[in-house]
Amino acid sequence: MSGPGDGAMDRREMLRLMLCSGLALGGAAAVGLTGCPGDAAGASGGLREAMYYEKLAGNVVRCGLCPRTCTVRDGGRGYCGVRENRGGTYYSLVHGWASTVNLDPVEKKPLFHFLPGSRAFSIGTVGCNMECKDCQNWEISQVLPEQIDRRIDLPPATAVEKAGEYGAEIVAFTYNEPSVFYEFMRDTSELAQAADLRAVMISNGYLNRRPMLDLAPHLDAIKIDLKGFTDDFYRDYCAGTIEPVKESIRRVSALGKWLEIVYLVVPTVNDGLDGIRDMAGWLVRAVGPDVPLHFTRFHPAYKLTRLPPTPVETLEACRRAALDQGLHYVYVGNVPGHPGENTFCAGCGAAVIRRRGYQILERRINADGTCALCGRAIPGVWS
Amino acid sequence: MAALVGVGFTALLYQVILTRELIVSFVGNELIIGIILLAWLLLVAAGSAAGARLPDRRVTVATLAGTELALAPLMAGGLVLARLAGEQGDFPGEIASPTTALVLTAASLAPACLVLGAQFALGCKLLERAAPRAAGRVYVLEATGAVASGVLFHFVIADHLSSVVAVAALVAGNCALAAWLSAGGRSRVTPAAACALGAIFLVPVGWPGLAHRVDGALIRVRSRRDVVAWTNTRYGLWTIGRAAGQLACAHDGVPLFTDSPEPGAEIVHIGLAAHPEPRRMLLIGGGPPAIREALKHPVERLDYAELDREGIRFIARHVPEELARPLRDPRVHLRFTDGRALVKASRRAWDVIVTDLPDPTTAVINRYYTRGFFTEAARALRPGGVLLTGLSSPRATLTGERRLLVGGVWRALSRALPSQAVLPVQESLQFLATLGPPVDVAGLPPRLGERDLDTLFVTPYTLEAELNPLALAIAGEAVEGAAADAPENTDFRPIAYHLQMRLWWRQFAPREELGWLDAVTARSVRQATWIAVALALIAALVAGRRRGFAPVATGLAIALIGLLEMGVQLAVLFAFQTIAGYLYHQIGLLMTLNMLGLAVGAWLAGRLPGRRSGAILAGICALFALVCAGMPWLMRAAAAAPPFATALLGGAALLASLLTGAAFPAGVALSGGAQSRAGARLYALDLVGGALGAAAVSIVLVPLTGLDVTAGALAVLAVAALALLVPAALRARS
Repeated sequence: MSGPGDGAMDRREMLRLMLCSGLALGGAAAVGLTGCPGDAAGASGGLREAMYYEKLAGNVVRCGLCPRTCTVRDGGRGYCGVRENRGGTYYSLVHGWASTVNLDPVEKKPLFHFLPGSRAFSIGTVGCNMECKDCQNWEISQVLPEQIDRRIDLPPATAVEKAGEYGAEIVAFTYNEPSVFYEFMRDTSELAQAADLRAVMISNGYLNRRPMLDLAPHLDAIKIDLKGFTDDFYRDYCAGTIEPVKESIRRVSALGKWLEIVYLVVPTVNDGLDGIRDMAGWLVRAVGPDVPLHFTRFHPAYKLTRLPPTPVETLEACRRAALDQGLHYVYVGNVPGHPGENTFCAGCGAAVIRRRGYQILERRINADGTCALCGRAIPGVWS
Repeated sequence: MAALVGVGFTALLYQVILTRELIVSFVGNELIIGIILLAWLLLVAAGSAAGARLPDRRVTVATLAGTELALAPLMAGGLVLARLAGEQGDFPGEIASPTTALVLTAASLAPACLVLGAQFALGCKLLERAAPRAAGRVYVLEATGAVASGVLFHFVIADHLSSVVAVAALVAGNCALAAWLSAGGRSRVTPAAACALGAIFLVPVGWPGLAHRVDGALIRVRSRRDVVAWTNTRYGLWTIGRAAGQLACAHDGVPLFTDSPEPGAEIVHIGLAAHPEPRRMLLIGGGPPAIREALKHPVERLDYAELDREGIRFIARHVPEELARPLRDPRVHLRFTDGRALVKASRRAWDVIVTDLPDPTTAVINRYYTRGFFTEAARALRPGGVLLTGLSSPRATLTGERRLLVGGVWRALSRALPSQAVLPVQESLQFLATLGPPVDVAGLPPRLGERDLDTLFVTPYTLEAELNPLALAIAGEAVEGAAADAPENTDFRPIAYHLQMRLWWRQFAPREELGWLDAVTARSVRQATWIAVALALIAALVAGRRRGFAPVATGLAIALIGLLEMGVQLAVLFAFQTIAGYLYHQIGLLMTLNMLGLAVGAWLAGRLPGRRSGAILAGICALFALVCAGMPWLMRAAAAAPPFATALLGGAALLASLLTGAAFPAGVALSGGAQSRAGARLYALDLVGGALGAAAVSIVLVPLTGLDVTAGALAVLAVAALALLVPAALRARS
């Protein structure tokens, strides 16, 4: 199986090269990011040899990036649609370009215990290793690279440079599943850390052990979506399985990386309180009571356009159930002005961060991450 | 004869009711409507073809009575199936794929449609024994029944009866007809049994409480949710659901708003913040939550355009006071009319116009995204006025159909108003256009702050965050780039709803390329139609003298006439809705005129000598060519003189249906052979042509090539039909 450093070029050398080319490009396009037409011939513009794959007989490869472990014949692509076998060599087609970039409040990711109030230079490409029925971004997550009409040219060094230029403290890999553009994310996050920026991944957690272990040192925080809490649900709703996601949650926590969990509550689909209790109880046992859990409000999207948004009472019931299971930091998301958006100290119960949507209204946490009222440590990355 | 009037009455009424039900069950875009129409016409055609194959000796009045009785459970079952067809996915709220929609539509319609089609053939056979030229008379009788049911539906049923009551009454009527037909004959169907069955179906008609319960039970099963109130108006089904303390309002199954804070309702703040003194405002769509939000600004008068008076009454009765109050606010003027028509008729009336509408999934909604509408809105704005419209677009990533859709609408807007800005807000792209200088986007958050409004989703902070320089640059570049490549969305070339249809299709096959449809251009359509003419001429020259040519040519010509008629009717509907607005009764009148034209045309042609049938049919084709060729001129004339639009366009619709009605008996006479068989065959071909015409014109030709090119193509196809008929006409004369 190929791994880091197995490529044709030494990775450090490649990073240096990319930094140089990126700076040159940045100089040329000082005003903004440049768009370019998509490459209908097969996205050769974003080509880079993939990591974590195994060469099999007859120019067949087996991808080892995510739990799908796709076996791909010559000329074929993996489930994600963005990794292609060309003559027995596996390539990522989504390196160095983005389908979309934006500057988002970090609370929008949502990460509530990670540099509150900071801005994240957010990057998305194309493809996903799941297919969720409510995917808001299906037009980038479920398509092929060549279907993107205009790409944003974004070599890793340019991404980091632009993040700084726009005043972002964080580079976020988001919108579509970042693990499918693993190499791009990894190269960019390395450069971001070198430039004193933080790097975060907004993921479904569907990533194998080795890639996760290798990536984690270059990331500062990871948000993982839990779509439901049974294997059947994952199979029917997302075309995935739950165990690898649970494994990723355990692994990220064990690696000491800042972790937050999001559970999108879809009315009548995954809002049963028994399941919520099971999930919250498992989180307490697996990663401890301090992991923030966000119950976010569903809005109609993709194939679920005939469901109304989640009732706020349902979100409140989920929050209560999770708190009862022993979790300390449980949030209600997508309901601006709801008290469940605030961070309450697990010691004294005071609201130490008051929020309204993505806006921080008040912060009562000391620089060392302790409650300004009782001194109890509030877990997170605060500075 | 009365039974045949009943067949036409039943067929049309049942079709309209089931179409409404299926639109609610599935996503009611133009493709779904096309699928329903296609399935209906093809199934009736199949029934007619099958009926024609029945041996004559087995066809008696009792057979017809049997089919009438069989329709009772089939129609009731079809309604139940159509109701249950929605949300057949794994999860509640999941939309059906095109394949699922097609299969379930066909399953709902098939039993009754096949019988209704067969009844036409049976009618031909029965009447043939009693009178010559029976097929033409059957056509007249059937169309007469359709006229009656069209009038009844549009002017009585749509406003006052639920589908359950209407179908129950229809079924009871059919049972009575079966009893009457079987009375006095040696029939296995006894009048008593038919009467008993009819009486059962009369129960819900006479007991509204029971009908209401059945209606509610079926609505709840379809939506899999707690529906606590509902009403059927002429414009669709309104429901109020309540779950976990939240009230949710939906129209035709699509969620509109809840009583919880919703981001969509706050979009109006962007339009209002863009104007320094928004005193007079027009809001189209958005409902009570959007009105409530708009009233937070210093607005002196807010006009709210809404087609459905009954729908608003229903909402006002069932929503909490917080949402009902804005509807009673003295500043709010509810204008129960077509929003487009209101804008068109207004001059310098408003400081701000906001359209808070769904994306252009149908031709009717698309009328609010065309250059025509934006131009009318520019005239309706006061100096310095602002227009806010938008399209959903998760991220500013514009790919495939979404890119062309956004580009086409932006292009239309750019040509109508002098300055525009694109704002990526809340998973949408909001287009802010003004009559004055460009809006200072950076000034929106502070102005919103100055007004000190109590908002949750659109606040100075969120606006500043969402409208950051990077987001604006990316969105601006994406939209400008898209507009450079996209065809403009116009009234007479409404490409946006076609692209929206493709987007829906791609949700189920995201990696499938539908760009091949773009090969349908004005040039390729012209080429294809002239090739059709050439082929028709070659066929006429080579095979015209052969004995079997006449029936084949007649069949093809009738199918083409069916296609042309449907094409003209759709073109008239498009043009009428654009020029006069979506005016329910006028549209009902147009559809009734269509049916009337078919009946009168068939009746008139049936009185002419049979030896002239070839010449009549050829003349009909020639006239159709003229009607189609004249459509662009007619539409422009109607647009230039809106008060005469109904007369001009209604006249065209009536002429087309007169010609089509007249074609049928002429075609039967020209085909030769047994009248009943020829009649059933031509009836089926007429329907197949109509089905193909409906699909081709509304789904592909009009949106991709425009009404002018479509009308031209139809005129050329009429010439092709004429070319096919000339040898047959000459032969018939000799």
